[in-house]
Amino acid sequence: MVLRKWLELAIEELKKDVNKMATLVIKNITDSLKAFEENNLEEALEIKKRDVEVDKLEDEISKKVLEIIWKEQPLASDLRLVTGIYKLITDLERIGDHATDIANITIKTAELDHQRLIPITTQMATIAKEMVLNSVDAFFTFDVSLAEKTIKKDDEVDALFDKVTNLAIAEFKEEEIDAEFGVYLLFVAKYIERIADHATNICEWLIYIVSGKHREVSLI
Amino acid sequence: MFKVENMSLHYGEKMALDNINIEIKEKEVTAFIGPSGCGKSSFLRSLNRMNDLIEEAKIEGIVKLKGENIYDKKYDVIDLRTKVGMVFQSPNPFPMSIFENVVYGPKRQGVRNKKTLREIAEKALKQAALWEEVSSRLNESAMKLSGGQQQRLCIARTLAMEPEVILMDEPTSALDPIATQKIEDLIRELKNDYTIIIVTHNMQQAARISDKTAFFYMGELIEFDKTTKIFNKPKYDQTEKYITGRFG
Repeated sequence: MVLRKWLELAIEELKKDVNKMATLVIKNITDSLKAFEENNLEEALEIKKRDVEVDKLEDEISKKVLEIIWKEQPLASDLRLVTGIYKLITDLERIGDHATDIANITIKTAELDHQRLIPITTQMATIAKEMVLNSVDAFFTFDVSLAEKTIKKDDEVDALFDKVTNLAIAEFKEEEIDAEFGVYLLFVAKYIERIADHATNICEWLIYIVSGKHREVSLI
Repeated sequence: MFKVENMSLHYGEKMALDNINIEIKEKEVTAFIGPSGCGKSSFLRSLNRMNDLIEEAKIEGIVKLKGENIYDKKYDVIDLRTKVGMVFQSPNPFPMSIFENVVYGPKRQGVRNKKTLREIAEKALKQAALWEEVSSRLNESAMKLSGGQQQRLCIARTLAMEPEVILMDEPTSALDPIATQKIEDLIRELKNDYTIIIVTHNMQQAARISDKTAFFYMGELIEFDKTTKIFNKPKYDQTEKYITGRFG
């Protein structure tokens, strides 16, 4: 007989929901960056619709986590897993929001004729997307080493964001860039930078789930 | 308060406790957890030599209370049980009045002055959070009290002896949730003045009220640590499996 069968089933169900939410979020950021680059208004509108699904999944998962806590009163590794999930879905949801933010900028800039992605932001987007993928992968495989490697990547994204900011300032001064588009491009860069931050958070919650430590501080 | 070194307990041929080493701090609540038959109650009872009453029980090793081995031949058992009181699973008031129950111990020790006895009873009943409920009917039979009140009366009876340690063997297992809550609140209050050691099968209770938790399994002390650590990230797999309910 499997002891605590209901709890095990409930946790499995929770993991499946997180997987569903993560898959949708990853699709949304990939598509939103592509839609911005290709000035694809239709796709941008689709992404906005899909974000509603992400929010719904966050609510469903939150409800299930609370139900596990009050019904099953999990302890030790079970408690760290469900509370870790409760925290990391907020980060997933925020990544989803930023995908929508980028889609909104695509909608706003649809009429502007300008090169959509410059090499630095493309590089930022590549790293940030990889970070999100790896953070989710680390969570599902409980891979602390992958989580730690992913966290380190955040510095690269931050450095690129500083670089793109300085570049934009210089180009604004020289009037080499259209001011309206320049501002939107900076927003996109900022959203990518935030996406990388949330991927970092997911990795930090995975480390907590495995070790009980969050950002080197023991929560125990 | 207690320092136990290499302590083993046998009931005849059967080993109940195997080489226990533990240090229990003063004015802390320590919970003993583990599956039935793991030795936790046997260990609790050995802390005030209740096992002496079992003929075939044989203890080895050292159990020091404030530096003195309580199993030393010269150690006064009556004195030990004054210092180390005990509350049992089912409330066991004596078939006498509420007042007589509380002052039973002090009277046996020779306290005769009525005023002193009244003061002892009032203090103990107040400490046990029972005074307000029984002050107007101290001469009524203790058997008329509810189960929860009876258990608090037993705690008052223990407190009247002014012990330093209170041992509790599943003190709420026979009580309803409200009575349980009152006992738990009381334990949290009493810890300011007493060292409390409690055996419980209720994980959440151990998590709520204790500072340290000891996990016993098959006569061995598997893990002893801060309660926060035991219930969040225990060191050993056996502890993890037991507290997450996957033991079996």
